[in-house]
Amino acid sequence: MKNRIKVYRAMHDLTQEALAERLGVTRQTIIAIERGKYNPSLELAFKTARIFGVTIEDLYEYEETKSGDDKS
Amino acid sequence: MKPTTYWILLLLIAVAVGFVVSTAALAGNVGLAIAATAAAVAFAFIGRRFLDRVVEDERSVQISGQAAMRTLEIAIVAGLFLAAALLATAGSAPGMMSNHYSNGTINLSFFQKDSAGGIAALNSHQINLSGNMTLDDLFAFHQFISEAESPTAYAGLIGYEMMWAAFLIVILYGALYLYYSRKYGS
Repeated sequence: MKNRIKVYRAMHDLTQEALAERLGVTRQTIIAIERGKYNPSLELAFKTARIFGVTIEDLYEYEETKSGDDKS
Repeated sequence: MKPTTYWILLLLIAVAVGFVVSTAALAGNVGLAIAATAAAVAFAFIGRRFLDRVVEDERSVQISGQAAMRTLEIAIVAGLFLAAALLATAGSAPGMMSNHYSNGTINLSFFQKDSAGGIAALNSHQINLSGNMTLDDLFAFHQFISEAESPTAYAGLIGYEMMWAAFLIVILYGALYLYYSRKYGS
């Protein structure tokens, strides 16, 4: 799953640490999401979208994999 | 409290509780061991409340869940293999027969079941109990103790215990799986 968190974070002048604090997660989680290594839960995805004032679709883009399952 | 300080605190608590529990276990004081463990859990819990940053979130829960799952699989498979190996190499504890003689000597004979189910005589020791023990008698005593405490006799016991431990872990896993399965609605 692709995401544009890094872009929106830069637009809102937020550091990874600040975003992590607002979301109630660790900075490592933000790093993992930005790198596409970890797919956040729906709750975390909604929270992130709400912080940036956008929809989930603006932040995350679902890509179908060959096997049909996603890494998380 | 910073996360690093919290991890150092946890490490110190673990070292302290390890020391107290081992000392209590050696002294046979089960109460102290339980109290020390409970105190350690309480300290860790209190320390967690003073954290100024998040140290656990959905990602870390997922990571620890997967790590726990792999640990469980590896531990059960390795435990069962080890148990099977121990049971295969185990010998039964040697049996003993004693004959007393009127001249004050005692004859200790050891025998053991072999893999075919037969009984094999291991050894026989003549020990003089009349008051003037010789070096040979002492050697016979030594043989008696070492044969009675043969490591192969314990291998089977350890193998059985490991098998039961693996079985109990699987049962516990099943029970917890059912619990979480109900909790999350399936």
